[in-house]
Amino acid sequence: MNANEGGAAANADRNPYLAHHFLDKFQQDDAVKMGMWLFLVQELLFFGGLFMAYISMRFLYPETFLQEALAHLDWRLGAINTVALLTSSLTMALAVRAAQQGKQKQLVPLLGVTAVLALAFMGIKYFEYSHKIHDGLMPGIYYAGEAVGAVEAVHHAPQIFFSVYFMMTGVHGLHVLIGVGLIGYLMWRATKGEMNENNYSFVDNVGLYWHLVDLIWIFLFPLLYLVK
Amino acid sequence: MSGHEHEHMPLKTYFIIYGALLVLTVVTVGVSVIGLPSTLSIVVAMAVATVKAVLVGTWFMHLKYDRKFNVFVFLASFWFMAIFFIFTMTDLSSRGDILAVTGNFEQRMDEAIASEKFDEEAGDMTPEELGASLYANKGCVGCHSLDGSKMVGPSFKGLYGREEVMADGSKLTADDAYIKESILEPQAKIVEGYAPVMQDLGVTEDEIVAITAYIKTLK
Repeated sequence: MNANEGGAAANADRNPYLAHHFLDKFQQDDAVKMGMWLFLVQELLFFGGLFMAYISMRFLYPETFLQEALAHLDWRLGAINTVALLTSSLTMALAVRAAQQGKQKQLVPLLGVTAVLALAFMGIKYFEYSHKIHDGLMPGIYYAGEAVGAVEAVHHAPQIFFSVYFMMTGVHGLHVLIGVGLIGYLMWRATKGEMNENNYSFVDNVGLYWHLVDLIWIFLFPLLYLVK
Repeated sequence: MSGHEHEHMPLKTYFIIYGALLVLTVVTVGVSVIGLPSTLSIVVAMAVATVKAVLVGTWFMHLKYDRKFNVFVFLASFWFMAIFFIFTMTDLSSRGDILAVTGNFEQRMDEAIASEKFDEEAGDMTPEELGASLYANKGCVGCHSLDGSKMVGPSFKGLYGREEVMADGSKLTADDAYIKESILEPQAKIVEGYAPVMQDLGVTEDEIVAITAYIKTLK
């Protein structure tokens, strides 16, 4: 159907969520989604640099990474956070489903649970961070770990492990916070009834973003907390 | 073809995937607690994480129902990451071989700093003048006379080109290589009648050239 054809009568039939430069809703959804995937790809490549930093530093300081990770990172907190993010991924996926099916009553609570789980994740991270900061387990020149009896040996560079740890979890945490903001915005739009079966691309894309954040944590958790 | 089939993805599927993700989390934690050997541990952990990533990507992110092009775009990013990782690791893991030949960064920096300091101190002096100054400052003067008299070590007077008899009975002519060796490794060759007491004085290659030039002037 030609968007210009028919004048005002045709415009009245147009989906109000269809932007004028798209032919129809399918075309718009496809374009929006491909744009989102391209964004996610650059996110992955961005995190790829951080993963490479982890690999190379671990290659150069293998003992440091083992000792520091085992001594100062609590895998139980990491595991709780993993379950929190996985569960939030489920509720997000269900929220996307609810939006696509126009189930308004399910959408807002599902988004709410997702946001609460994300905040729980950040709460545990806050607890972990403040504990490390208190112990002086900081990156680079801010490292003051010897004061609490950390091991010192040749080729032992705990500050490098904590540089990698704070950079990776910090950038990931920032993504979680941005996700919370996006989900909050979605909830606000959803309560106004603007997220429905005719307009769910935004929910879908925030969902994709959220799953990617989960996906990155799926790799971060074993690398930082578990691998011996 | 647009991905709208996933509207009908059964609710059950979401919970099955979620259950599988939880089970895999227990597996990866369990493997870590059991404590496998280091290499095996990282291989298992990454394999489990990859399976989890595939589950999330395929069903939660609906790639199973998405356009094939989006799947291609997503997988292409892993391809580029693999290139990035492999070539960076090739570089890192071969550094040792290169450094064994060229010296590491710190060693080369030390040399560069020493060389710069030398240029600064030398200023407009000729090598001979600089050698004379080093003779006084580096401590040579304490043990090596300029007038031919025997001190703790042999005199520098007429040293260059002189035939010396070593403690082991061999003979050699004092040349650039001999002077250099005697400064860098004082105990390598000892002239007969002297004790092996000289220390490494931390003289750089540039300074050795200047000292040698100075010794040549002491006929």
